[in-house]
Amino acid sequence: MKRVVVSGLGCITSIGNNRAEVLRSLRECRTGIEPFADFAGDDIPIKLAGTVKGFTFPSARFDDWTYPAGYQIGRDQLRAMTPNALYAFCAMDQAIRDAQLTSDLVSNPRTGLLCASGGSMWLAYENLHTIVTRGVNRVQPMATVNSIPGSLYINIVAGFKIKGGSMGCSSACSSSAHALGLAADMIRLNRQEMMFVVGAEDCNRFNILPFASIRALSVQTDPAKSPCAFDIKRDGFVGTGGAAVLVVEELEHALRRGAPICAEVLGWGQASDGYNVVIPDPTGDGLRRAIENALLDARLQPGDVDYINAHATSTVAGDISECHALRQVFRGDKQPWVSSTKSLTGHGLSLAGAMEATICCLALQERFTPVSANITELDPACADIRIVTEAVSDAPQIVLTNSSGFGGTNVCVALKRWDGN
Amino acid sequence: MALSEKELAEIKQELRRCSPETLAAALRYREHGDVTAVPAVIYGLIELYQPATAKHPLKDANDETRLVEDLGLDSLSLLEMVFSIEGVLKVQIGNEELKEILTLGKLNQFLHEKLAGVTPTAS
Repeated sequence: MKRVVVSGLGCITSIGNNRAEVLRSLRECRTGIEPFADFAGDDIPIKLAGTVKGFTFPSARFDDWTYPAGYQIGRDQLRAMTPNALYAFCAMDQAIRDAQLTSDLVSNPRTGLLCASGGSMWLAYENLHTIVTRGVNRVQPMATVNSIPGSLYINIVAGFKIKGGSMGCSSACSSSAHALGLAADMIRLNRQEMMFVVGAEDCNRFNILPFASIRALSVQTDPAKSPCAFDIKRDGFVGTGGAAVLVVEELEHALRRGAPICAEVLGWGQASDGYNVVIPDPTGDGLRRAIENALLDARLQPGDVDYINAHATSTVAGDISECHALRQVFRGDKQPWVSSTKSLTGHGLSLAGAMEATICCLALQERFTPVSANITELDPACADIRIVTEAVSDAPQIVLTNSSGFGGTNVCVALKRWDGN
Repeated sequence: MALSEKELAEIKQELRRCSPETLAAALRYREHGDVTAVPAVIYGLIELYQPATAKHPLKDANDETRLVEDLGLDSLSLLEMVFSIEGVLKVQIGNEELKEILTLGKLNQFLHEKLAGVTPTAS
């Protein structure tokens, strides 16, 4: 079976709009969370978000949108976009440069694309509202394209003239982790030589606030206090948006072209809870099986793992469930470090898996262990897990990244530092 | 006919990226029924939707200038423009009618006739 490496990264996130900024924020434990103007008003009990800086969306009209300088986006491309597709376009541009890809390699029958997004609930609302209140013929021509979850895939596959296999993943908050795993499989099976893995989400009241009614969102107003995964005072997650792109490539192909490899994808696993629509199985059984499947696929023993980027969104139920899964798998003397980088970034929903795999690649390449921020009093129910409450000097060689989503879907991806062999 | 505040706001919103001359022309038609102002509205909207890479600059256009081949409007830009025309001039352009409108002259003629209450000779 072919081996798979990550040879390029792109990121538009709450903690930075390129890999250098993200790296600095992670190292300095700098939060991307702040009070969000979109949540203003006494009728909105949620105040914090992992805001995406440098972009503005003052109306649903694409020609009102602004984005950071340095990206070339034509009007004919922008008019079909959603905010998440715009973030992804910028992250793709970075990843292509980071992986040192020529346009022939980007637009190539052996290069494919896997996208993950929940779609733009904002634009779907605007478009449907126009149809209902003003009539079918008054909705803008791109209404279908930018209302459906597939709009990310539609925009990126056409915008970058992708010629290989391309598709979207839709499995709630594990979507882009699924995309990464499936992309790795496509390369291992020699169906493609290179894959772009793209996770992206809007960041606005329409895609974040629906979680308020199930009490999944933090009502904290101080970004220094929330989100605080594994802490006794955690009260829910803080939403974010943005985009993350990983260039996933067949090892020999990457070596032949002298690609700047940052990590190897050793394997991955998935499993479902079979339990509830929104509540994770309290025993963590589904996630446990996903982790075990990943270890088996990657030919690893639990003791080989140095660090786990936990799903840990900072909800009461989710963090406990994940701790149960971890303690069932990692029983030996050597316990891996565990942290939630969502405590700095916020929870990116469909973006989360790709964003956190990107963070893991940075941790491997730059040899640091990301801290789990905002913990002042560890929940006793998590106390036996080796959580990174403050900076440690350990440089991980093998990491896992967990993602779980509504419906009880669980994914675990195993990555290894690239040391040249 | 005096426009309501809502109608005025809608026109301004639709034309907010066009020149002041385009807005003035649209208001001349909407408030006074002056159909001679319509070509200036069309000009302003094409200016908005024409890509920078277009073969022919709009300032050199004449009645024979083709919307797609010469002015570079693709099918979606054409739809966006029709959408704006319908909103600003309060006129409907049907699919069959649109198929026949291939040149700038044809577009102006079609709208002139339709807005003046004459059955348009689109074909």
